[in-house]
Amino acid sequence: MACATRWTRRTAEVSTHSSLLEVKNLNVHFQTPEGELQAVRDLSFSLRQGETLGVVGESGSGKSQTMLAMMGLLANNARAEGQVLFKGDNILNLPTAQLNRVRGPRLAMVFQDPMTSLNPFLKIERQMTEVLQTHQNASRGQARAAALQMLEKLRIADPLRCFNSYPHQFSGGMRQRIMIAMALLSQPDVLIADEPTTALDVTVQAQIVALLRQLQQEHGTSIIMVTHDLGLVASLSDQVMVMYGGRVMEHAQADDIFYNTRHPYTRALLESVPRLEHADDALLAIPGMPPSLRNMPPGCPFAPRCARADNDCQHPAPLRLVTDGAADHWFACHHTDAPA
Amino acid sequence: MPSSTPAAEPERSPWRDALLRFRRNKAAVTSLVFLVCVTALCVIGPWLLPHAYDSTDWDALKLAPSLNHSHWWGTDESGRDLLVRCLVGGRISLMVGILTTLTSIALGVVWGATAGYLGGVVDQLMMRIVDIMYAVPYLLIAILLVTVLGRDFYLVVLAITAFSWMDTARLVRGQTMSLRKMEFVEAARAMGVTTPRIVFEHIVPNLMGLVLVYATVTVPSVILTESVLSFLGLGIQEPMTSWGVLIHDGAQMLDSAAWLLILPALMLSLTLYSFNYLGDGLRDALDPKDR
Amino acid sequence: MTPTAPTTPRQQPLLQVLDLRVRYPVNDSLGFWPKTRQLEAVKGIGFNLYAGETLGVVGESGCGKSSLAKALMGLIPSQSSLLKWFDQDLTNIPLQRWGAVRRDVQMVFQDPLSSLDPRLNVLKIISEPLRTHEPGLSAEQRKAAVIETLIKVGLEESVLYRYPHELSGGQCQRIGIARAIILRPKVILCDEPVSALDVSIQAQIIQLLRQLQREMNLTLVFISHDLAVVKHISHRVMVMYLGTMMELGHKDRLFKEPAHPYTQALLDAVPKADPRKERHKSYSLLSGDIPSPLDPPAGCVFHTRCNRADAQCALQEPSFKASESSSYACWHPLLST
Repeated sequence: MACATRWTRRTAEVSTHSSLLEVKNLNVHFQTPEGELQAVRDLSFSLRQGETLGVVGESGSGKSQTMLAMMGLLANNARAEGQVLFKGDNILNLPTAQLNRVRGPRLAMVFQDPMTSLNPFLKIERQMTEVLQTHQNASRGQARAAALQMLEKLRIADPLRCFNSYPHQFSGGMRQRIMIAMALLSQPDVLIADEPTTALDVTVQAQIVALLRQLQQEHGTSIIMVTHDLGLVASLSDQVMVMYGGRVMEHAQADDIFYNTRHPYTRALLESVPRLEHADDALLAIPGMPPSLRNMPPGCPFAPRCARADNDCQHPAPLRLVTDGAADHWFACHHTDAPA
Repeated sequence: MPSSTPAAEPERSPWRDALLRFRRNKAAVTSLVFLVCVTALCVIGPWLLPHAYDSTDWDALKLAPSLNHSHWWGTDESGRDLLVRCLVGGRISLMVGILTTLTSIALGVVWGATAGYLGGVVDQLMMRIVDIMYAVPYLLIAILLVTVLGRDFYLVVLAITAFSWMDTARLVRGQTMSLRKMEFVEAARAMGVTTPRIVFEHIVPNLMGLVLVYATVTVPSVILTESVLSFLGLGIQEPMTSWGVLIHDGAQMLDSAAWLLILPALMLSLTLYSFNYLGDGLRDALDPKDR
Repeated sequence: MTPTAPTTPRQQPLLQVLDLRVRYPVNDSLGFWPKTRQLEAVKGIGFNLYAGETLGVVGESGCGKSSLAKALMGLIPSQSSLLKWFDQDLTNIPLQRWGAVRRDVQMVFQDPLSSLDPRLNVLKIISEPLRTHEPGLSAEQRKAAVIETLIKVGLEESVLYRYPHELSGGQCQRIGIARAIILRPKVILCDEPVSALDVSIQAQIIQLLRQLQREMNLTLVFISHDLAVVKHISHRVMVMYLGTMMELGHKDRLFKEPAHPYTQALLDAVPKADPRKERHKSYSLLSGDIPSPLDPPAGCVFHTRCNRADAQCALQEPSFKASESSSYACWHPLLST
């Protein structure tokens, strides 16, 4: 099943309208036998139509929990506070019936492992049409036609054979494309992709990324891409949010994050993750390891590993605005001058 | 070279973690305490009580239980004190249960681990033997053995072992096959560790949790089997008694001396119940998903 | 801290492989009747490994790189026309007789947590090679050796009695490395050693491996799907696809001017952490998915996705052309001449 795509340049128009999705002061807590743990602290961002937000973080950064909180998919022992405003209405902690009107049709999510997201016992046709029949009261025929059209749009060859097959008959890349197709069937306003390409090979990843860009241009869908891969973020995002230990470390337009880095963690990340364009000598390892939720340091979560940490860092740094920047550029560090 | 180690804590082996989890499970801990008490009573009790299990009290034939006289649980039609007989019978039942379980688990682990690790033809052969053993009607064979060779304690143990090791073997074989694929087993092979050492140092210790749980559930099943044999009149010989024998005898006196059935049956049921709860608790405590 | 220049090829290689093939029987039955097919995970690979170098092996899923590593270690059976470790001819020798090689060739695995026995503490894990190959040592001597190795991999003596589940991924991987180096082997095969680690820890482990290579004069075979990681640690790089070697060459040349279209495609597909460059990037993506290793394409295995492929590529498998500067298997290489 071929899917040849010419790499499209980024010319998507980001709407200058008010924000489509606005998150304000989101906090996520977990109740465990060892006490209450906090996975996300005081997180805020806003997303406009047609815009892509890249959320970068490692394990324990809280990036996935943020998305799950927004979609109302947190575990039973978790509690979310704050506001998630979708088109002006707060959808955080809505009762399931009301949430289901938004979640799915307007706010769709694609997960890391397509195998566990697809039902292995149902054919693809059934899984795709079910989405439309439930959310849009489409008839079976209408749903089928719409699903076929979507598969064609994704350049999936032989969509009819695809319809009649089971998930295990496809490769990882195909399954992820099917998942994206399913997520896009109801033409959502926002697509949240949680590490969608981590389990895929790099050449297949490039195809999926091209696909997302193309779809964004055609439909104006906003995308939230959660990943640990800085390259992926650079190739897709308009704005980037860097998370660590449950907090936002830096939040700016993509260019500013990469060329005008302010936070020591972002800088350390850019220098320590092996990249093709690095010279060999340039790899600088960050000492220590990411904090676990049980052992969160007081104050700035990155302080134990930061070369510039001092006594001030015992208290968490508030997000402050970069004054000489062109666009909104926030970072949470007591040391306001740019890191070397 | 920078690398922060976690703050100094007491050693937390997987067994210790399991113990801590087990202690939180009240039902399991209660069951364990109960079993320990029952065992202690059965072992020490008969020495502390005034009556012997086989002595006849001519003044107290078929006496109902009461705290007013010295036979707290009453006597049977031969004037033998029921409490002492229940405790002595408990000794036998528990001994049969534990001894049989130990031997059948030992046999099952060795058989299953060997078949599971070696795989191929050896595995097929060994598992076919297990299948054949399953097909044999055990009760018939047990009856045959006992009828021909006599009702000896160790023979009862042997007869029951012969038909309870297969479950363990199957379980262990399945677990071994999945453990064999784990990376740490591969690492051991890459290091050049010999096969017997891999089986005994890597595979069996990682099985023991499951086997322990299985053992606590096998004990009641063995005790029950022994009770069935005794009920059929094929178990322990008179005057030695077991719970099964007591239940067999008590059932015949149901209309005139119901306590002769109820009290031993109650003791047996509570013990079996406790073993099952204990097994449940152990399984939850050892569940690796909790880590 | 640049990896030192590789030794000249004139030296006697530590490992010589010719036409290595690895096959797995795979259960392909659809109904009741069992049907076994052969999956050719590695289809005829040949190369030499020289002392002191790091050979990076890179490729996507189904390329056979893990199977290659296991075959070289003697963990799985393989066929070849030549397989020689340290001048010892092991061609088609059954795996039980590989004993002597196991001391000098060790392996580091991908998942740090599952490659360590959860029931053993760190001391027992790291001392296992000693207990296997040097039974004459006393417990005190073993403990001393383990402590020395722990320090070498950047851990403290306090982890000695801990269990794997108490430690982080990075620490567990250091323990895996300690276990591999305690016998002072000559060669270490690393099978995706950093893939399961957090990105900020990967650099630490890469630095550690480079440092150990220098200190102990190790030869490394480093397998990864991540080209950037391979670039940082290797001297020479081998690119694999569906069990076949596509290209083999010195790292600098291979990454700057690849000869094989697949190598070029891989390099293009990796997104760079440079938004301006990414925005203006323009190249053709590979079409289609990676074919299943059970049903590889005829001729050149890459021809179904290659935009330079023609009729010849579909019919005939290209032979491996080895030269001083570049070695590749392609009918239409990207060479300038």
